[in-house]
This record gives sequence, C-alpha cells and structure tokens, in this order.
Amino acid sequence: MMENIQATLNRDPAVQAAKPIKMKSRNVTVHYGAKQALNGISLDIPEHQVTALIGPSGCGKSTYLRCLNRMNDTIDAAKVAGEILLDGQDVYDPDIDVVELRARVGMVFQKPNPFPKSIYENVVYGPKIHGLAHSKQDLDEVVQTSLRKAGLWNEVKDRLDEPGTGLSGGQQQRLCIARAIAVSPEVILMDEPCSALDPIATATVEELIDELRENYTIVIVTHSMQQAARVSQLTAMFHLGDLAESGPTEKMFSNPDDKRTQDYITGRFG
Amino acid sequence: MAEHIVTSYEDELKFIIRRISEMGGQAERMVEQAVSALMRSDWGLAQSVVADDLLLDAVQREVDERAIRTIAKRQPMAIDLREIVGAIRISNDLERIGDLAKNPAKRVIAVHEHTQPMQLVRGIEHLADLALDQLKQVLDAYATRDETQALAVRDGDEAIDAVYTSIFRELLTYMMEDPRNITACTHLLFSAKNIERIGDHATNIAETVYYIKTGEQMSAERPKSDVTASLAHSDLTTPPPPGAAGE
Repeated sequence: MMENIQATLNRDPAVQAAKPIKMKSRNVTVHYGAKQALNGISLDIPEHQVTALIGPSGCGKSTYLRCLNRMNDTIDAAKVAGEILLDGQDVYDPDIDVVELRARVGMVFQKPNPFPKSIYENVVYGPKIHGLAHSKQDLDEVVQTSLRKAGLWNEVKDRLDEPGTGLSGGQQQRLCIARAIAVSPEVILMDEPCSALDPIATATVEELIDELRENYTIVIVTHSMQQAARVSQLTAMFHLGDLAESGPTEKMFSNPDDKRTQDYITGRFG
Repeated sequence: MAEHIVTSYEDELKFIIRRISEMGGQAERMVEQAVSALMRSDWGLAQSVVADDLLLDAVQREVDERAIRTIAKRQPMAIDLREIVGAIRISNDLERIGDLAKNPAKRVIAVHEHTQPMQLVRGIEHLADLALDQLKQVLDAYATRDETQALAVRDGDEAIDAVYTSIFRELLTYMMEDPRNITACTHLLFSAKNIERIGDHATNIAETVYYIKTGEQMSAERPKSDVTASLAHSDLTTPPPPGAAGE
C-alpha cells in the first residue's frame, strides 16, 4: 500500500531529477561607475528549466540578466567582474565572439520592439546576419518554424509582408520571441516580457514559455509574483544587489527560508 | 512579522483569524455545556447548545466566504496563504465539533428517561474533560502559533482513545448485565463516540497549526489507541489485563 502511494507521488511532475547546469555564475559583481549594483552573485541556471528572477525595483535582477549575454558591455560605465560560464566556457573570455554569444543567449525585452520592417524580415534578420540561412527556401523555413514555435504562425501566415509594428502588443511580443528563436539560441533571457501586455496576451506568452522550455533554457525577470509562480521551476530572489535566496519555485512561494523573500512575496515591503 | 503594505489586506487577514478564535471559544463552551446537560439532565441547557450550533455554522460559512474573497482579491503567498487555508480547515473542524457537541445534547431526554446508575455517566465526564483539555490546548497553540504545543496535542489524543475504549467495554458489560440498560447505554455510547471524535478534530486542528507555522505537514505516524473497531466478543467477556486499554 505504502509503495503504491510512493509510486503515485513519484509520478508527480514536481518530483523530478535534477537537470544539468547550463549557465553558472560565481561571485558576479557589477559597478555602474562608483555605485555597486551587484554584490557577488553565485547562481546556477539549469538546462531546459525556467528560472525566474524576482525582487523589488533596483535590486539588480535586470542587471544580472544583462550580464548573462554581455548586454552590459554596451553601457560604458558598467564594470562586470566574477565568472559567468555557458556550458563551462567563460562568456567574458576576451576570445569570445560577443555577437555569437548573443545568438546563443538571446533576449526578449519588456516592451515589444519589432524592427520597422515586415513580419518576414523581422524573423530572418538574425539568421541572415549570422549566416545561418542562405537560400530563399532556407529563410522561408526558418520563418515558418520560428513563428510556429512562437505560436504566431496561424495568426500571421497570410500577411508576412505586413509591418511587424502593425500587430497587437501580444503578437508583437511573440514576434520578438520568434525573432530570438530564429537564430537557434540555447538560452533565452526575458526581461519582464509581459509587463506591457493584457491578461489574455500574457496568458498566451506564459503558455509559450512553458512550451519553449522543452528546447531552450529560459531566464525570466518578472515583477509579477503570480507569473513567477506559474511559469518557473526555479526562483531567485534579489534584494539590494544581493541574492537573498534561490530554490525550487514551489518552495519559494509556499515556504521560503529568507525573511526578505517572505516579506517581498507577501507584500510586506516593496 | 511586519504588517502588509496594503492595510485593508492586513485587516482582512486579522478579521478571519479573530473569527477563528471566536469560533474556538464558542465550540469549547458548547462541549462543556453539552456534557454538563448530559450529567445533570438539564434539558434547557441542552436546547441552548442545539441553538448555538446554528450560530457556529453561520460563522463557519462567513469565514469560508471571507477566505475565498481574500484569496481571489489578494492572491496570498507563503505564510499568508497558509494562514488562510489553515483558517478554512480549522473553521471546518470547529463547525464539526459544534455538531458533535449538539448530538449528546439532543440525547439528554432519551438517556434520562431510562434510569441508570450515575457511574455510567462518570466515565463520559472524564472523557469530556480530556477532550476539552485537548481543545483548549490546541486553541492556545493556534493563538500563539506554537508548533510544539500542537505536537503535544496530537500525541495527547492517545489518552482519549484509550478512555473511550474502556467506556465502550464498560457500557457493553452493563448491557449484558441487564437488557433494560441497553437504550440508555446505547445513547451514552453514541455520546462517548461523539466526544472521542471531538478529540480527533482537535488533532486535525493541531496538524493545521503545525502546517501554518512551519509550512511542513506533521509526520504521518500518529499514536492510535481506539481499538474498539477490532474488539472481539471474547475480548469483552474476559476483563482486559491491567494497562491493556492503553496499548
């Protein structure tokens, strides 16, 4: 009897074997000029899982996210130290090709930002500059696969020549996700991807994130506790540039260890 | 713990928690009065217990509605979620305790139409004292969120089960001695069972208090001493060896 119960419990999708680590960071610090924004973050990001970064505004979660594909390089005053490994390789190694890194670690931003071009051109832009597709046939295929994976194909297949900016907010965001997927990334970083979307579009994007997890490793910054609880398997709580706590999402939202996490997720300080 | 940024949320939670404490006090009073009515054949007191049960039911529905409204409005997390889910569970247990107190109260007339020796009801009084003590302790544990006391209450249920088992044996013996005792003894047996069940609900509440405080479920191993379900006729005709009731 007890064995049957145990067997049933083991079928619970929450009870899973640990996934290999895709990205590993050790003691990452970031300074913006004299101001220190991150105070030594060490965090493992497992493969094919959604890791949510939460915390009050200014806690460093977006700064940390931007370290993962060296987006902070574009800010002159930003100085990053510590170690960030992608499949064991240091992403801040001087020999690394940053453009290639950003193809492997793609990013989706808070506000949908399609290029002022056609839907088709938005998707093929990346594959073209990375030389991933050459013939028209290759490009057509990339467009279809990426838009399908982003759950947008059926809505736009008859108007691929129309401007991407003409789509609704939710569709634009899925177009941006399709654009990120088109270069076959391994990791997708999302910085509050739903904050500008209505609840229906949010639900579509969340459903998409859950499907994408099968093929990609996802790191998402979100201000919505409920969203973090719904879409992620792991949650990391940032506070004033520190990593307060990280662990399985279920535990973080039902019984967190750190008082700062407890206070933040229950709305006791902001 | 710090208060919520949104004060109306804080007020909603405090309201629900206060209601639970009030329900606890009322359930406790009902159990006391029901047993007292049974001891003293006080039909008036018994009737007031029956009437009080309606109030307890109404408060339980109120707690349910408030809790669901708060979940819908606030999407509580962590300790807040446990507090609210805990309140729903505890109010349910307290409502059941009210029902279980009402039941012996309703039997007051039936029991006393048939004269029986006072010692028959003495055992039940003792059982009720134990159950009431458990209830008091678990309400204290809830008020102070004391998980150690909650554990003690869970373990204390063993004593109630043991006394119930011995009352069960005793009442059967009276019934076998003189069939005219059967009606009163059966009513008393039901009353004893109801009181024993009150102890079980106190245990449920203890488990909930433990969960609210720690976020973990109490371990499953629970002492069990109500062996009446497995008692055979032969167990009853030969007196049990000393100490056997607590096995």
